[in-house]
Amino acid sequence: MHHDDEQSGYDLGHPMPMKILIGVFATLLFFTWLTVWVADQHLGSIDLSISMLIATVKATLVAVFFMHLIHDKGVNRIAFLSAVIFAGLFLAVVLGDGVEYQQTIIDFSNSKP
Amino acid sequence: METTITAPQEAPQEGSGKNYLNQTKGILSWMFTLDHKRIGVMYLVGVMISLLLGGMFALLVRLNLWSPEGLLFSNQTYNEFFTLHGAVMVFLFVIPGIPGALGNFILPLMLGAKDVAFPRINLMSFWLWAIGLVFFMAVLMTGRIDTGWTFYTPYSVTSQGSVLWATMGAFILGFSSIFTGLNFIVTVHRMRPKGMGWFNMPLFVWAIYATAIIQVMSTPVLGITLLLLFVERAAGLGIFDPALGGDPVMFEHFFWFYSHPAVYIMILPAMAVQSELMATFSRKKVFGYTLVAYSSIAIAAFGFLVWGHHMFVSGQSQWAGIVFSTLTFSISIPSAIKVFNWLSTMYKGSVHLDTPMYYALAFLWMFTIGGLTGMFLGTMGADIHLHDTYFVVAHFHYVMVGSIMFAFFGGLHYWWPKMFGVMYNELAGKVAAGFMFVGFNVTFFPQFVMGTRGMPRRYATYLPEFQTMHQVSTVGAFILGTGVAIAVITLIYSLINGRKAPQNPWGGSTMEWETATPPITTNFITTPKVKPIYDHSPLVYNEATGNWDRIEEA
Amino acid sequence: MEASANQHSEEHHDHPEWLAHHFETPQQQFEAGKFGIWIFLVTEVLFFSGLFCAYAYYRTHHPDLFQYAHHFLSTKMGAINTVVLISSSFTMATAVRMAQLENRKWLIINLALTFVGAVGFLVIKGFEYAHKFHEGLYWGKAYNPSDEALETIAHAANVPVDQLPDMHQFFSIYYCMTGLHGIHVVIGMAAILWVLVRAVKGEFNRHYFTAVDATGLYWHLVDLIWIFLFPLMYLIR
Repeated sequence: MHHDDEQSGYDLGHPMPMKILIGVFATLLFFTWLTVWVADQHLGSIDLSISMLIATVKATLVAVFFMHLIHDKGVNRIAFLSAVIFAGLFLAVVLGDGVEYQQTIIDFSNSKP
Repeated sequence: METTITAPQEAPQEGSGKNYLNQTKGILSWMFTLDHKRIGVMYLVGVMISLLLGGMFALLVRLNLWSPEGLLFSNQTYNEFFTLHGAVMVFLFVIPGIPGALGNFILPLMLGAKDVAFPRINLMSFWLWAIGLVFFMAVLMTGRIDTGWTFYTPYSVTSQGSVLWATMGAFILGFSSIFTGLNFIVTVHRMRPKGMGWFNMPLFVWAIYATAIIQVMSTPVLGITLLLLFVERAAGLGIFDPALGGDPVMFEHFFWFYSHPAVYIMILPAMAVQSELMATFSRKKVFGYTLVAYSSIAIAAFGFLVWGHHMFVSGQSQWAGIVFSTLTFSISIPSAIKVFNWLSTMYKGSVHLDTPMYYALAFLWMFTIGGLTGMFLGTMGADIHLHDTYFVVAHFHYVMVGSIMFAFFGGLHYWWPKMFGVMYNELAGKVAAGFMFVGFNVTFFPQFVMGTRGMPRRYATYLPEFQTMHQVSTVGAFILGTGVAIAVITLIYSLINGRKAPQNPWGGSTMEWETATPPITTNFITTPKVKPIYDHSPLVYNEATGNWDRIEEA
Repeated sequence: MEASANQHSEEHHDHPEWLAHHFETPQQQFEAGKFGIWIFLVTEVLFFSGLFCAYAYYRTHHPDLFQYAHHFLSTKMGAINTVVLISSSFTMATAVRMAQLENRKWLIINLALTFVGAVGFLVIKGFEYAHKFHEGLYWGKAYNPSDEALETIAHAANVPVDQLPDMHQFFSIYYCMTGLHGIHVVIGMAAILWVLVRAVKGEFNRHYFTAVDATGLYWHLVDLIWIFLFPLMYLIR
């Protein structure tokens, strides 16, 4: 039956081993603890970058292992990455533009009596 | 050498004479159908109603502009009518039109498939569309909106009209669009027949696929924008309205991040139809097939990078303006590639001037004008003068109506015999196309001139110096309306009294022409053999039957 | 990437009832279903991106709002919710594995645990919201902070009460983001429940568990969004 499965359009991929699932789970818990701990160290403006970096690591673990991207078809990976990239593009431009025109807003507010 | 004529894939003997239209009867069998063809037909009826509704608002607007002080109604009413014209046309006709009505019907047939990947989601797309229509009906009945279809804040937050109903309607229609796109992407990836690689697919499929990518990636941003607008209006959120601490330029960024790619959601399906018409009615493979295919993807990709060209005078930074203006020029390249390749397809082809080809030829003229004038608007310096004038109005009508609506009618006339099994009156069809072409150009060409001379858009009243051109434009609008009416009547009449259509009246080479006419519910009994794309050589015209027979070497 | 239409398989396995008529093989159906849900996740990412954009914009240009207002949020509650959601993600991933191995008992148990996690998340969120409503910390126009609330912030931030800015925008963003996320949790719960019922009815097998996988992917995305929301909302210092 198995030999038949692999050859006739019945092969639906392999289940994720329990060891990996547990390992990833433990790692996620660790990083959660880490990000709370780092926040309490009061590192100033670098805080946000570090917490976002840790969040990205956690998200990558969830995507690659829990969501199976490591064993999955290329299109699924491309789809998800494209979403992240376009979201990033959107944020980058809006924020960049926002920074550029803030001065106009400040000048206007200051010029009002 | 033995040759045989390939037989159409008709229903088995027990159900002979049965096709997707009469296989099951009753309104419930349509409302709950999972058949992509029935869903396509329902979309067709729906978008045609929307076209007529939106068109009615357009005629009222143009009529009011007959006189500089406004001929018929108050400025407030005028604002409501142009807003509704825009919103109904954009959200209920142009965006869903070609993908919903023609794409749904034809795409699976072109792939030799029995249906799209997710038939139930397809049905849900249609129901969502219908619910969106209901919301817009509610807008009409509960105070209307006067914000323009673009819903700019802060006016959309404070305006007295039914902005809430309208934003919810557009939100729901957005989901309809998303699910259609999702369905098409998976269908194209996973349901092509054995032997049909990406570069053996019809260009219709390529362009609809590119459309679907945009639908899926950009529409959600509209969703969140409308949701935030709704909550801002209902609960005073303070994100877009400066009086509450918000930023209206951010609204425009959010809005146009979707709405610019949205215009490519609108034009790419039209280009999809255009490729098919050019191939069949020149009896030739589209020139530069590979480049045309890549151009569809390029238009989709670049389309995401240029939204700020709608915002040159909004208060966005100069830096953003320069970047967006420069990037806007990039879109002209794939668009031009397509136009030149379509033209080249006709060279040394065998051109047949049937009704669909009239629309396709008109498309070439109008899309060229629409596209070129877009370049003026994308040039930041020129746009300072042209923004918010009739130049913009003329530009986008040349693409939205002149190109997209014409392509829609072209595709409709092309596939009508396949969809309904009847031929319409060719002469009437051509007369309608002629009225539309003349009417359209008379309506909108003067508007370019008016715009450069300073006539602002969305104004209910205007300076007397513009009156003559406004009147010419209004006359043109009624000629255009007449053309549309003739076309619609011709098509409907064919359902009642048209002669039975042969299997392949135009000699199309793509797989949908190998189904029965109209197709059986399951489309094919066996998937046809995949052949080289746009190879018209096996098709031979049979004078007696009016059919292009497919001759197969045995 | 062509779809495989393998005639050989059709002769050996009849079209089972869990294989839709328009698909040739279970593999085609599964891959189509998976791809479909991934595309849906793409739309969800872009949907939330607008909110993250609004957050980033306001935090960049009104940092003071965020620095004061974050005192209203309990890091502990947020952290507990993060752990709850990650755990439910773990049980969901395990459930998918169990479906593939045709282990019906553990599939059902893990789906039930995931559902419980979701409920737990909403309960904790409910407590947080209730506390804020009690203090008058609503969104937008309804924002009406109680004196005690303002005193607490002034004390924590070491400034006089009358120097505190109007923080309604922070709460507008907070409720929008956590609220929309919460709505997605509720939708996820409905999906998990539906899949749970089907699992109990024994509808899944080694060749057909797409619904479990799809629900799982959706649920992981809900977790992913929270992974970013948590530091952005609760770890501002």
